[in-house]
Amino acid sequence: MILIENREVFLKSFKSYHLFEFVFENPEKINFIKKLSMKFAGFNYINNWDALLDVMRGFYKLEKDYIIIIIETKNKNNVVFGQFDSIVDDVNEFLKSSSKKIIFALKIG
Amino acid sequence: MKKIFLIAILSVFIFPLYSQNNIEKNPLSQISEHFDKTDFSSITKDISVSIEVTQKDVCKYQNQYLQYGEKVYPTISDKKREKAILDLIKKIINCEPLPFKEDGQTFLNKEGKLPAMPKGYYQEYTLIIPKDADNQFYIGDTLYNAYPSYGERGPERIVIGGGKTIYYTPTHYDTFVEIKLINIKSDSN
Repeated sequence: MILIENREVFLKSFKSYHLFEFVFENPEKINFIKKLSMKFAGFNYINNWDALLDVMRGFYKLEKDYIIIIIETKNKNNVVFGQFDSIVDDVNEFLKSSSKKIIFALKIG
Repeated sequence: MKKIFLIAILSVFIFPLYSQNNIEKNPLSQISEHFDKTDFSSITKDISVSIEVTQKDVCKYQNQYLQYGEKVYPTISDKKREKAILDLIKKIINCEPLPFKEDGQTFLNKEGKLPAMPKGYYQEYTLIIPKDADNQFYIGDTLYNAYPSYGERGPERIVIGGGKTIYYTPTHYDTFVEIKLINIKSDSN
């Protein structure tokens, strides 16, 4: 998980990427998972980390090498972000074989 | 008194010499000394070339305790679902190629809904349900509503634990049912 201040400056450091952006003030786990899985794959029923991880493994099909997830929040210490960061690490392990990587960044709003 | 003196001399001077001499003469210690002096690096190289473990070997080893059956227990009311499960497990046992890159990957049990086990213990597999399967079905006495099937893989999975325990999740990892494959003949006997 990376903390960023300037979105544009941060994105300039990547040549090609697939970008997902979210705004969460102080997310609760189920709502967070639902919003992400809906945006990632259009699944509206997902309510657990294992299923979100499963959905994110599907990123290997994306054309771009970097999948950037920027979450704007006022509370960087929310426990959900830490849990999601661990999911990102697990998915990245799977994506290695496809030479793809997820970058998870928190932007303090 | 003389006897005690003799034993004392023997135990202090003679026995240690005798036992040390025995160790030196022990053929095992000589072999071990010889091995210590031998350079095995060239031999190890040869061994590493000659052992080739294929993915199929790994698969067979992983699923060596899985046994095929003709029926799922607890009973699944939707026979199309049951057939899909049996077909998938047959393919897993036979180490046949499966259609998705995610098949056979480690299920990480992040929610802890299955018993806690070391990483790599659980493998997950996509269970493709026919489009004309029932939208409501029973597993044992429990009624399930089929989850919407988005994307190629849909929401249903089989998870195998330790190459022997089979879990079915019709709800995309929200709930799990441990299932067993039974043989109709042996079951009725």
